[in-house]
Amino acid sequence: MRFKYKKISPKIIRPIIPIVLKYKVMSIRFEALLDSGADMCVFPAEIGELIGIEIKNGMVGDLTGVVGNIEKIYYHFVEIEIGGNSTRVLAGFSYSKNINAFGLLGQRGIFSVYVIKFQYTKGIVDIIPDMTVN
Amino acid sequence: MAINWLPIYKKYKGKWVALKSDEKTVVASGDKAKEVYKKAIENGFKDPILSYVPTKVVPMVG
Repeated sequence: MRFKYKKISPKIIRPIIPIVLKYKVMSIRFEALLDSGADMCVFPAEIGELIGIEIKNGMVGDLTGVVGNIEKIYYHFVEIEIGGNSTRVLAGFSYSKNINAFGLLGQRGIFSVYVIKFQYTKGIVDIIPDMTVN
Repeated sequence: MAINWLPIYKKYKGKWVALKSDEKTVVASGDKAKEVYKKAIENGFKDPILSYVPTKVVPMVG
């Protein structure tokens, strides 16, 4: 599956891709950032609430970024669909806009099941299911 | 080549937007994701893509 980067400032393009976030019978299409520097997947709490997740009923954890501030997140199992392929992921949901309002697609849940090829100079990213993963 | 979101980022800072499947046409916007999603559906767009436009774009690491 091939996706295009998004140009968000004159000098910044990012691998932000459309995903389907699913919880039980509800789902929403949402733009999320492929982030190899993220250990896990994190989404804005507003998006989780939109698909019926009782955010604060989830297990609480801490999350930090490279600048060191620690934010609270709530864990829930969701399905993340990329280009028709679905994977079940334990994702964190945060009320903080500092976390990154795109949502982050991180190592655990995304890079663990897909082979991802970033081609920055062409502004494209290829995402292929990793057939070696059970 | 990357999809140009500069016009969206200029016009909708700090807002949620609902996009068509082309990922560049805004069909609804507002302060809350739920309200924007509802507006898009009411405007006849069955499967909009939601995105949040930050108030400021700065380089990001991590």
